[in-house]
Amino acid sequence: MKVLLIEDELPAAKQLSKMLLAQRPDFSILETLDSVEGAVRWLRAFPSPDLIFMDIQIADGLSFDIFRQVTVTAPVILPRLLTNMRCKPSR
Amino acid sequence: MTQKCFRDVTGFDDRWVMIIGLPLASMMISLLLFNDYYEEGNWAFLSVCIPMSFIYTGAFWFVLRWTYYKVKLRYPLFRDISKRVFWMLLAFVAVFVVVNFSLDVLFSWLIPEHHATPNLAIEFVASLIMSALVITIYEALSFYLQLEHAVAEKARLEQKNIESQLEGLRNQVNPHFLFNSLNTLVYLIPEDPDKAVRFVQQLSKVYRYVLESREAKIIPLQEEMEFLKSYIFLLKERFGDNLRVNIHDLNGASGSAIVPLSMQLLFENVIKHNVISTEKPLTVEVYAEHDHLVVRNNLQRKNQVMDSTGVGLDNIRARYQMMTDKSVDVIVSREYFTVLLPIINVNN
Repeated sequence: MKVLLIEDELPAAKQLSKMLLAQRPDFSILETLDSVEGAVRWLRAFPSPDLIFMDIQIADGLSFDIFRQVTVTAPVILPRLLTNMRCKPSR
Repeated sequence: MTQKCFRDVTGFDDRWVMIIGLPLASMMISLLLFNDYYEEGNWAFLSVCIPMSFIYTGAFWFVLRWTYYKVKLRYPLFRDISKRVFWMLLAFVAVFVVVNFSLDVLFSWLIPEHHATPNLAIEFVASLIMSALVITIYEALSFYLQLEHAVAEKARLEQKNIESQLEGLRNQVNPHFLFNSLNTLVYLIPEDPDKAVRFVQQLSKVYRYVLESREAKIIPLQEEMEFLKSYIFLLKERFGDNLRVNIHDLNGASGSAIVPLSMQLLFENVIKHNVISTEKPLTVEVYAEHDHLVVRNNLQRKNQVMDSTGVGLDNIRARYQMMTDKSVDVIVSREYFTVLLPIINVNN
């Protein structure tokens, strides 16, 4: 199973990949990307991963913006859902 | 430098004073000087004398007013009143001599028969009293308005002070900073326990500084920079190599001070508003230049800013305004965002 991580906090990404590989040693983490820009570029350049772990608030905005720019077919898991997030979206 | 108008220099607009005062004063002058003609009912004379009084009073008023403007420009402070009064009296004497001479000439030309020019002594006293009255009114108005202005300014600054104290307090328990630090910590503990310990030590250093500097209005530059090192350690742990901070040697002379936690606020601001990613790493330069502390970062604005109160820079500005005349400057170019904090010299 090829996994893509979209997470901007380094320690969080490291821990997630560590936990994942501990549970599923056969998984491989293709890449850890920390921005919308980076993720879009990667997804356009490479074939789709089998699974994506994604954080909502990443370096340059909300990860949902990735879906506006590129078609994602792989299933997406949001490991950390923070409640009470207040942000002003740019419409 | 643009020409300051009367109102700028004296603090009030004397249009109405003149509109009401000039006719009033000239009528009084004419009554005082040409009393006999009034009693005689000599309207022929009066038709000349009344305009004459008007011109007479007007001449005094305008010259003294102009002198007041010039003198107030030169000596604006209330305690210089003696200097102003001196110059006004000088001007009064000058005007008296000139006006009298000219009007004498004019009088003798217009009314050659009547050589009865008003008694010079009465004229002098009357003019002096009128002028003194006018000068007093001007000084009083100016003083009152200056006082009002000062009181309003004081109230405004007090308000600002309270607001920034409140903001300062809010900053100390800024939930976001603590939240983010603990978030980083929670991942660090199982990953790298030794580093986690160091992280907690730096975090406690940061909060100790926050507590210690709470009362202080300014803090030695060295101490703030020491704090900054701990603060940046925490940030670096969170952002890794995507955040680069270069602190240039400040060769801080003893006696250099800044407002406490201003660096923290600036960094917080930078992180809140800029993208920090592998694609777009952020570099912050900290250096000293011409008795300013400069914090500069490459500008890469976020589209959506989380929880921005917009108060950060204003808070810093207000706190600096209370300590020094030098201002906090912000320079925004296409590439960089730069903030210049004045370095306060406590030796002055």
